[in-house]
Amino acid sequence: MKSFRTVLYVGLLSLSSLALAQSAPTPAAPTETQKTFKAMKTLAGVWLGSAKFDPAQPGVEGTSTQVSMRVTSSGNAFVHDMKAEGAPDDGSKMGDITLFYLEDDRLILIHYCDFGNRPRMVAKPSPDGKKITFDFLDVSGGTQYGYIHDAVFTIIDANHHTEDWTYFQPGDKVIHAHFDFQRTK
Amino acid sequence: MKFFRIALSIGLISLSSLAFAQSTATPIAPTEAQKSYDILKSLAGTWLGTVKTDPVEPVMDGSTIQTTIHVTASGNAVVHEMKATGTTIGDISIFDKDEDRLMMTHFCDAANKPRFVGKLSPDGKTLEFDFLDVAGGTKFGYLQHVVFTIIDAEHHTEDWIYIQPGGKFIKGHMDLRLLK
Repeated sequence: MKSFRTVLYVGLLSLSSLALAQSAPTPAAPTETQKTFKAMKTLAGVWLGSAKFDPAQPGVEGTSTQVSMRVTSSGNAFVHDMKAEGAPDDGSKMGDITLFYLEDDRLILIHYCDFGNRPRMVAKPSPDGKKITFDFLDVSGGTQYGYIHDAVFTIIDANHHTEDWTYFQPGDKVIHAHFDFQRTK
Repeated sequence: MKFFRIALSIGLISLSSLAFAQSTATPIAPTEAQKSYDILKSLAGTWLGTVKTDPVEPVMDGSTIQTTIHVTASGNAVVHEMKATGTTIGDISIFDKDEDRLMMTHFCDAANKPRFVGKLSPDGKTLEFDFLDVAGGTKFGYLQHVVFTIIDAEHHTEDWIYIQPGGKFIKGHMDLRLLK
């Protein structure tokens, strides 16, 4: 909680200032994971796009989709909210939420799925910071309806990115969804 | 993801309709976790209130807090976002059910991720979240206990207990009124 953290800062300020004064002025170089997280955060904003499926899924092919992404928790978490365009904001019927955070120098993705489960994925290093691949780590909750297995974010430019999500159906049949997003704000 | 679910529903609809038709009409009593979760979902909305601290911390005591609670993932998760009014500073917590436990995961700006298990008071007014574990560093302390108390449909309180490094506690009591 920020408020608690603010209080804590008051107590720590003199100590941390002292420590800072005593430490070398060179900041620690960011790790590859931190760089990847920073690249993800550049996607903060509201995006609109459409979905294509492989194999094709009649009825949902080309569905217009809105994604809202924002940084929270003083930069320690990144939120990805996806819903069908025009769906109500209450989220009770449409949409899902994914969070990204650092843990032990790994960039973790946790997806709160409307299937009632929570798969976690871990990012591979992304040398160019443009293509960020999340590999499956584990899943909690029931998987009788299947689960999301992996995801790839590709940053084309500041106003254009794509997302590829792979879904494992029961029986391990695979559906791949490709979303092409343009920034709206 | 909704789109996968829609696609899947197309395939499952005839099967689930058949299963529903074959089932008895007797509804299954909700579990404690389900009851707790439903109460939490009833808090969906935007709330405004003030915070009081124990021990008193002049920096934050009496400050204004806005909390937004919304349901997502087709009802499978509840998102709680808290921020100081007029700022973008805040943090996020997610509530969901896991093996018939009501779970709370707090993505803290202290760069850690404590988890809690909820339990409901007999009168159904108080939801208490006991600490389960914490991932990430705890050098700045961590959130240790959370209590939601429902006064009525437009009024609830939240008590958040935080452990500082060295084991000292700070309690924040938030008195929140429904804005919309």
